[in-house]
Amino acid sequence: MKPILEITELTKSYGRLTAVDALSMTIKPGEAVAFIGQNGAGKSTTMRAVAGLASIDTGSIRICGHDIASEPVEARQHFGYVSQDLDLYNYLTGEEFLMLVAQIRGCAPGDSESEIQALLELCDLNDARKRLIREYSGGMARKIAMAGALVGSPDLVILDESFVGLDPESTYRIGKFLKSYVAQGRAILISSHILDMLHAMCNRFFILHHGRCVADYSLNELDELCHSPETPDITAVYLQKTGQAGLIRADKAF
Amino acid sequence: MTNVPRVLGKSFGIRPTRGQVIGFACALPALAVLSYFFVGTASGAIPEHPGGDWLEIAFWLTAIATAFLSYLMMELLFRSREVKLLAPWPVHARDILNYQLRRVFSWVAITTIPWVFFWAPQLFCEPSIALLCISLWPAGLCVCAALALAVLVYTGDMATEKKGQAGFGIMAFSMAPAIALGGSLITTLLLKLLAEALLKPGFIDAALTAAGITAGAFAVAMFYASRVYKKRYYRILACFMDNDRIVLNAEYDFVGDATYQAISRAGAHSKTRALSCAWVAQCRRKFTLSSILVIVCELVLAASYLHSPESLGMTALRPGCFAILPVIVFSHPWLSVSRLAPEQLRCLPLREDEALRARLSACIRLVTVPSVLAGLAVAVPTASAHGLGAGMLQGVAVMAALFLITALLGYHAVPGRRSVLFTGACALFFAIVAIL
Repeated sequence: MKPILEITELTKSYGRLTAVDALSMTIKPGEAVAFIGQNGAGKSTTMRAVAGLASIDTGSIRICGHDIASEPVEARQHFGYVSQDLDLYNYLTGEEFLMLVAQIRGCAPGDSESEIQALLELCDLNDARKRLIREYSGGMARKIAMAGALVGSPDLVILDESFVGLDPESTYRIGKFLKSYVAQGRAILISSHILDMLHAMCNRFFILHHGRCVADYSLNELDELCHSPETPDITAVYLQKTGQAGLIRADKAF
Repeated sequence: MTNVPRVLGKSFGIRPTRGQVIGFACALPALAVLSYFFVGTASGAIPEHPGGDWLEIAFWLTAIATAFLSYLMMELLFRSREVKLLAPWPVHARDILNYQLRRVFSWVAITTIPWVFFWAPQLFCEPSIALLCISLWPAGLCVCAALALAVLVYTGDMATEKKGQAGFGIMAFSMAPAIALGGSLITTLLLKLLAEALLKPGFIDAALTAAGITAGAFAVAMFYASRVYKKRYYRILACFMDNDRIVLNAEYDFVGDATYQAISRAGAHSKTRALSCAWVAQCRRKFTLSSILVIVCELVLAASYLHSPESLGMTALRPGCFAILPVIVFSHPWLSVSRLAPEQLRCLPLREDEALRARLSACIRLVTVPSVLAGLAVAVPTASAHGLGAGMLQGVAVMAALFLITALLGYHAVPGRRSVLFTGACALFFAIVAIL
């Protein structure tokens, strides 16, 4: 199966700090990949590099066979991205924004209208469709950004901390939608610190520590690990892999 | 003891980049050249207007700046980044007021530097008139700042008193900058009359009266504002934030279905058109005040020509035409569009040339209206194609400046060296247009 995302030996430094260190990974259709790591582990840098928003020092990133640096437009045709720091078209309405994204993605007008309608309903923004985005609450703005990333059904959806501030209903509804989206042969790359949500939503787990990949588990492998007494849940697995197992032992002693 | 306003100034003050400082320094001599060729003469002044073209130009430019300042005061007092950051901290209102006043008055001082350069060549011809022109800017802006502060504080005070009345706060805060603007324009006019009275022999009483009224307005406004501000600032800020967060029906915010239809009609084959429509809509909604000001300025210009039809000559048209130019530049479509371009745009499948074309097309659409209006404002009252050309020329000048930016700058970044080049090139271009 042809991979959707191929990252080869990606390295990115900010001055003397190496944010991502020779990272390689491949995402295939049907994979929902969770990016887990502490603050500053390199998750957002990797995602920004994949989205073409951060330059890279060495390595390469290919999306559906297109190099993000040398074929930026072709590569961008295949992914939608929601940044951790939302920066949206504040003076467009939610509906106008989605229509703009649809037009830029080259969706057919008839299809795009029904798709926009469906996405607005998914995000529970139907009543706010004619309101300016600047008037949206933080959670609503995140939802419209996610809807924007899903317009045109790109092969890969990159969500960087996108579930922060979302109400439980929306989290459940969008999570369920993303699972079905992946089942249709697409892929998602999602970072979050809500590990239980990631466990329920994803089928592959990538743990980053100091810019390096320290673990790459499938859902089955993770579930097996979670059955052991040392690592009863995903948080314990994560802490153990990042060399902080002492926290679990201290907790037990307490 | 900690000097809180100084600490705030150090933390939040704007630190210009080296490129900006060099650009600013390069633009200063260009301003002097511009004024040398463009400002006209004071010697042709009629007895009723002893300041001639110079005072007219000084008045109009100051009036435009006060219009912007009266709006910016609201942003500074209630909406700026530091105000939001400081709101939950234990800082005395008097310290915030001192810090904000420092910011405003340093802004006035900094903008006075190019103003002085602008009038510098005239100092060698008619020093007394040139000095009066120079003093009009800082005096007008200081009085405007005081009046805007007083009006905003009074509005906030009233809004906190009438908290129960639905919609009162929104209406009051929306009207406040306009009221401040009205007051500022009147005082600027008084300052101009004061300058004229000083130039006319035997009008010392009139000059003293105008000076008294202006100084009185400044003192009363500052006294009232500082008294109420120190007592009730946090209550007023909370009230403003409440009203600022209220979700308005988008239809009141110039939103209809037209933009949605325009974007969707652009069709998948024309990404440029869709993006251009979106940018125009964003600019019109965000910079509503600028758009209104441009139209107001054109109307005032047209009315002034209708009022004095004898001023048909190009020399008489010059001050008015010149006064509109900064309005168009202030509402600089290129910069406005760039400020509204989110990072998300860079993740969409859009070629750089498509984005650039969309941006240019949006700018052309945004500039066309004011430049055509400028042309009509001159052409209709004077009934001359000559006037239409003069007005349209400004629009063309701005457009040419935009093309210069396109050529000199990248799509996303504005590096220092390029901004210097751009500033110099724009100043040169405007000087050439002015001479022609």
